[in-house]
Amino acid sequence: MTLLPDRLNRILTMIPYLQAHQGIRVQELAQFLGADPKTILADLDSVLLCGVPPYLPNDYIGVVLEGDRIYVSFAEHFKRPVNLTFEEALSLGLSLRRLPLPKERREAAEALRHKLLALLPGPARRMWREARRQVDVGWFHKEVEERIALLRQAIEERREVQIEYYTASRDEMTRRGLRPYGLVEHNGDWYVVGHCMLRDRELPFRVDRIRTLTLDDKRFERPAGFAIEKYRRPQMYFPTYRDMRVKLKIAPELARWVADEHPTGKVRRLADGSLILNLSVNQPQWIISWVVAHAGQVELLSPQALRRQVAEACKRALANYE
Amino acid sequence: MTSTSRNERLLNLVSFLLKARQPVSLALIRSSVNGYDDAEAAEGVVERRFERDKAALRELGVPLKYVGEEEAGPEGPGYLIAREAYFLPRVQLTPAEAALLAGAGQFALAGAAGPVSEAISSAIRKLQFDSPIPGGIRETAEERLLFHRRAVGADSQEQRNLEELTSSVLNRRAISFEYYGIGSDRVQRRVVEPYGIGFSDGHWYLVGHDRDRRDIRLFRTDRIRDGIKRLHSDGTRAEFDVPAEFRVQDYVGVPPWLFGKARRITVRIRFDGTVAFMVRMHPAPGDRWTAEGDAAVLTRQATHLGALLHWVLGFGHHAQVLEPPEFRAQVIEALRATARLHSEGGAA
Repeated sequence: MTLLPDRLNRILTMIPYLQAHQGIRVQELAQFLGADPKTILADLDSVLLCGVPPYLPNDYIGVVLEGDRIYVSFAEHFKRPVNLTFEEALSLGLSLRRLPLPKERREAAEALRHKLLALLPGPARRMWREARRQVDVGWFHKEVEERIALLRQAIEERREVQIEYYTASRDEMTRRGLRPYGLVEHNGDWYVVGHCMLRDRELPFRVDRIRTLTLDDKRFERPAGFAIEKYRRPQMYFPTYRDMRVKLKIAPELARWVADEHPTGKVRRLADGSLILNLSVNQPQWIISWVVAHAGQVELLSPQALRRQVAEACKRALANYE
Repeated sequence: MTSTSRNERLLNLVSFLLKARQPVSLALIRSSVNGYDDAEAAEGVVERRFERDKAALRELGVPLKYVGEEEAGPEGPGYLIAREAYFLPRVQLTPAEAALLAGAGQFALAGAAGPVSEAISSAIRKLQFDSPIPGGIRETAEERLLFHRRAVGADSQEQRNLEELTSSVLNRRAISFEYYGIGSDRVQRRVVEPYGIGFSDGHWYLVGHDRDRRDIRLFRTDRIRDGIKRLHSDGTRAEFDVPAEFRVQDYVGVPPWLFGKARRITVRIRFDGTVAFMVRMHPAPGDRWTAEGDAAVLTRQATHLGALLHWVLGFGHHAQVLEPPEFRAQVIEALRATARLHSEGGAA
């Protein structure tokens, strides 16, 4: 939708809402409409200019601002908002499928979806079923969903969980207790953040690397200072003092893809089209796996210790074939 | 009054039609509604303006109908808004359902719903008319749940493109856009019948029939340069059919080793107990598993062994290719080559 219908769309909901809540404060209305007060006041200015023929004073919609309270008049014909459009109902329905929900809330989600569907006229209901093969907001494997459902329960009931977790940076599987505080969907991957009893600090864990998950009866208190907002960041893992500078040479046929994924990394292009890429890495194991995966297209130039580890990783894998 | 803005003109039109008890003719609209009543406008200007406004209102869900000669009463043919279809029916939500709305609202606010974020927010506003979310969405937004997506700003070109693409997919409108193909490293104009839109691995993708290439193609939406153009400006009718067997899920998120139409080769790979469960959580179409104690053997189809080679090498010693023998040999050769390359002293 372009900007203009967005404004009109908001106004068509705003007018009936104002009639049902005469004297509402600008701030409250702005919050309800999900827009800032300045936008709302501009919307109201434009409503003031609207009416019906013959455009006598009482034919215009009346808007009165008393302090920060709003009153409307002569707008009885806008008694309720416009019905949900097909796109709105479908979009909301799709998002319900994507929310991480504990099992008992799945039923409420199903009930809500039925209510949405019932609002639509017959042909739109058929379109809904049709559209599910055309619009997909993403999905997760059943096992990931099950872990998320269990984690949400643990978060709400403040119960400790026991997890078997694969740490990619160390290439090892460990058991640990975890006090889950919250869930983060980061660029399409789910993480649970909480206090790790093994490392005794707050850490994020990727849900699809949890091999087993069991709920304990041990309860915990979430620290008052916990703020999930701090995980709204470009990378899930912060760089640490242990970061290592790694220099890679990327073959020309892979160069474009790498430059596309690391637009901010330090890149130097050689005459033959290959790239020299300098990266800051805090998980050597990740870069080793990446170099091995791109056999023949990537060479790790430095540091020396990592070069040896790449060669060792290859030899270890080759042992599977002897 | 010629200075009436489009927003006000549309609102005038809706007001007029909502109050009218009979169908109203375009002539009457033209002579009386502010914004259409500019007498000096050239022939056809007002008609075209009205056509555009009709399309915009329908997009917002306003059921604007034309009543023809046969159905019309003594007032003659004309336009009307079907009031019973215009107003949102009363919807009472349970507290549990209202809480879900808050969650969906948060999902949309974070832009996590991409192309449908604005539609979700609009739907929630409307539903709150009868069932307010106590405290509003931002307040209720759980402090224990966070959605963070690669920044697609609410006002960014990409976000506007995503909304236009979804609308074109659902309304079956042909479109064109400038697209950067990373394979060809060129920006080219593509003319597409958009069949579907989907999210995978941090990116939104458009799937559609590329008219020049006469084939279904996948487009990463962040590689679309500039805006989306509609091929036909009115765009109220479906301009193409989506093949009955089309499913967006068959294209978006399909791994690179299943690209193309080459013959499928069956590959068997053993994964040890450390990683087998992770591989299972990211399945590809047609995967089959057999347990072997702690380990598990994956039987998988591939059209493009080169891509599968990179994928399997990434698991290092946790994976062992069993079949076919030529793929096994490729893996061994790749590992040997990488080991050799990194055995001598560094080149830098």
